[in-house]
Amino acid sequence: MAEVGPVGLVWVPVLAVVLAALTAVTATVDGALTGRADRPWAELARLLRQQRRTTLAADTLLGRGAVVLAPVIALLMAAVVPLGSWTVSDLSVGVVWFNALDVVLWAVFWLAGWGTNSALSLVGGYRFLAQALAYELPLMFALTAPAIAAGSLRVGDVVSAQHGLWFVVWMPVAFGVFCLAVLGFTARGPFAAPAGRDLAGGLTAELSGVDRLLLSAGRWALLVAAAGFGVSLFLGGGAGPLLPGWAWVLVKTVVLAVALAAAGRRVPLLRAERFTEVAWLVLLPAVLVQLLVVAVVVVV
Amino acid sequence: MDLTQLAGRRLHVLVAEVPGALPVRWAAESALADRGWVVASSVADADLLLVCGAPGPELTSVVRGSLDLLPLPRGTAAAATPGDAADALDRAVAQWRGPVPPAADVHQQDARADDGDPGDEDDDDDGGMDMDMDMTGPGGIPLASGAEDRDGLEMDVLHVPLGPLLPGWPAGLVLTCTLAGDVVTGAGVEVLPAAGRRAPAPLDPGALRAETATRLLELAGRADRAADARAARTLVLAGDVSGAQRPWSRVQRTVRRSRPLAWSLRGLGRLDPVLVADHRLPAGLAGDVHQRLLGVVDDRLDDAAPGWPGAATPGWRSRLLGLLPDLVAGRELAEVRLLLAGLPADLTADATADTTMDATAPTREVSGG
Repeated sequence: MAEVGPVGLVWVPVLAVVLAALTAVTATVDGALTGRADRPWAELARLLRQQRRTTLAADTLLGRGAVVLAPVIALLMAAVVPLGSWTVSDLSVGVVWFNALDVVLWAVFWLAGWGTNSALSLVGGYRFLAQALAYELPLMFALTAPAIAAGSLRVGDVVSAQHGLWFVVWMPVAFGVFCLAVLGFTARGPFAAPAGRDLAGGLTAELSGVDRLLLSAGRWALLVAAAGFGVSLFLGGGAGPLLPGWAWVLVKTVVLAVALAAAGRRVPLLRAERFTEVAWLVLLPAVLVQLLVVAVVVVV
Repeated sequence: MDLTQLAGRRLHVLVAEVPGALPVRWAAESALADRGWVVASSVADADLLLVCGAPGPELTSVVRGSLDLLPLPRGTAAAATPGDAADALDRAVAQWRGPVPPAADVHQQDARADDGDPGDEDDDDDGGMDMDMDMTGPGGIPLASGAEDRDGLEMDVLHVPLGPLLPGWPAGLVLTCTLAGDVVTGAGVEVLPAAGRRAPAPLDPGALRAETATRLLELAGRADRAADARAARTLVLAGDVSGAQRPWSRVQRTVRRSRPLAWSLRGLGRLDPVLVADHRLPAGLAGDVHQRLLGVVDDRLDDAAPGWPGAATPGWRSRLLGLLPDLVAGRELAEVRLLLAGLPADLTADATADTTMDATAPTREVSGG
C-alpha cells in the first residue's frame, strides 16, 4: 500500500465538501432503509425554511456556539483520516487528536443543553454527561489498541500497519467498544436519551430552523467522521481490490456509518446508571485484556 | 421542485389532545401518517399545531400560548371530531404554505415576561422555566432556589410544569414538578378539562392497548416497534383486526424476548400491588414498567373482553390522578415519563369542566393562586 502523505491545510474546504457529501449519502441511505429516501432532504428544506427561535434569557453565545461546533468538530476529526494515500493533516498524534475532539463534544452537548435556558434541554445535557462518563474511558483504551499494534499514534502509520490483516480481526473487543462509543458521542441509538422524546427532544427541545439543522446535521457528520476514523483504525483504511484506496475509504465509511445507525435503532435506550455499571465492570476490563493481548502479540 | 414543496413532504405536527378526544387524535395521527408527516416532539420542532377535541378555557389559553411559540412558518387548525381531522390538517398546511408573515413575534416570550401575568402558562408544554416565585433574575424569570434532594444534599431546584403538550402524555394533564437536577422531588397534579360536560365515548379496548404500547415503546427508544403498534391500532380502528395481528405480533415478540428492553425497563415506575389493591385500581397496573408493558401486549387485539388493565371500580381514574403526586415524587424524570406512558391512555378521559380533582392533589403552583 502506498504511504500516506499530507496534502496540506489548503485542502480543508475540499474535505468539508467530501464530508458533507458523505453525510448526505449516509443520511439518504438511512432514510431509504427506514422507508423514505427523501426524508433527510425534506427535513433539510423544512429547517432551511423555518424561523430561528429565541428563548427568554438564553445564553446565545454558548448555546449557538455549541450548535455550530458540532459540524466543525466532525470536520476536525475527518482532517486526520487518510483518504487512500492523501490526508489533510497527518498529525504525529492523530489518535490522540481524535480522542481530544470527542472529549470536546462533552462541552458541545452540555452547552447546547445549557444555552437555551430550558429545563428539559438542561436535563438532556445532564444525561449526556452521565453517559459520557460511562463510554469515555473504555473508548480511550479501545483507541490505544491499534496505536500499540502500529507502534505509532499517526493514523497513517496505523493504516499501513494493517497490511494483510485488518485490526478488527484480532481486536474485535476494541472495535466493538469503539462503535458503542461512537453511538454514545453522537447521542444516537441506545444513547439517544439526551435528545429523547420523553424530554420533548432534550438538547434539541428549543431549537428550530438553522440551529436545529446544524445540530442534527452535525450529529450525522460526527457519525460519518467517526466511522471514517474507525475504518482507518480497524478496517484497513483504503485496502481493497480493484478500486483505488480513497474510494475504498469512502465506501467503507458509508457502510460503517449506516450500519451503526441501523444497529442503534434495534436497541432500546439504555439508562445511564445501568450502562455505566456495564461500562466500568465489563467493558473496561475487557478492553484492558484486549490491550494486553495486543501488547503481547506485538512484543513476541 | 421548490423548497416549500419538498419541505411539505415531512411536516411535524404538534397534536394538542383534549381529554376524552383520543379518537380524534387517532384519526389525526393516521391522517398525518398518510401524508408522510410525523408527530412533533415539542413546539420548537413543530410546523403545524392541531387541536383535537374541544378544549376548555384553560387548555385553550395554553394552546394559544403554544401557538405563539411555534417557529414561522406555521399553521394551525382544530378538529372536533375524528371525521374533521384530515380536513383540519389541510387547513393548517394552507396557512403554513402561505406568505411568511414578518417575524414580529420572535421575541414574544420577552413580551410575555414583561406583562407580568403569573397565570400565563404558555411554556407548559416545552418546559420553559415559567414559574412564579418571589425572586426574579435576568429577563424577569425566577432564579433557581435551593433545597435538599432525595439524598439529602443541597441542590438547586426548579419549578417546571410538565405537560400538557408532551409526546406520549395523558391529554390535558399538567404536572407542576419541583426538579432537583433530573429528579422530581415534588409535584402537583392538574387536568385541564374539555369544554362542556360530555360522557366520553367508550373506546375500543384493543386500540387502547395498542396506544399504550405505542407510547411506552416510543419513550423506551424502540421507535420501530412503536410504529408497528401504531399500525396495529390504525388497523383495529379500521375494523381489520386480523390484519392488525401481523404488526402486533412483531410487537409482542420484541417485548417478550428483547433482553435489552427488559434490562432497561425493569424496576422502573413500580406501583405497589398493595397500593393498587387499596385504592381499588385495575390490577394490571401493579408492578414495574416492564411488567405493565408485558401485560399490555399479553393478548391478541381482538379479545372481546378487555384483558388489560383489568376490571376496577368506577372512578379509578380520578383516584389514580390524585395519587400521582406521591407516585412521581423521588423518581427521575425519565422514570416519571415511562410511568405515565404506561398508564391507560385514556387516564384523563372523564375530566370535564365540572370535574374537581381529588382533595389530595396539591393546589396549583403555576397559577400563583
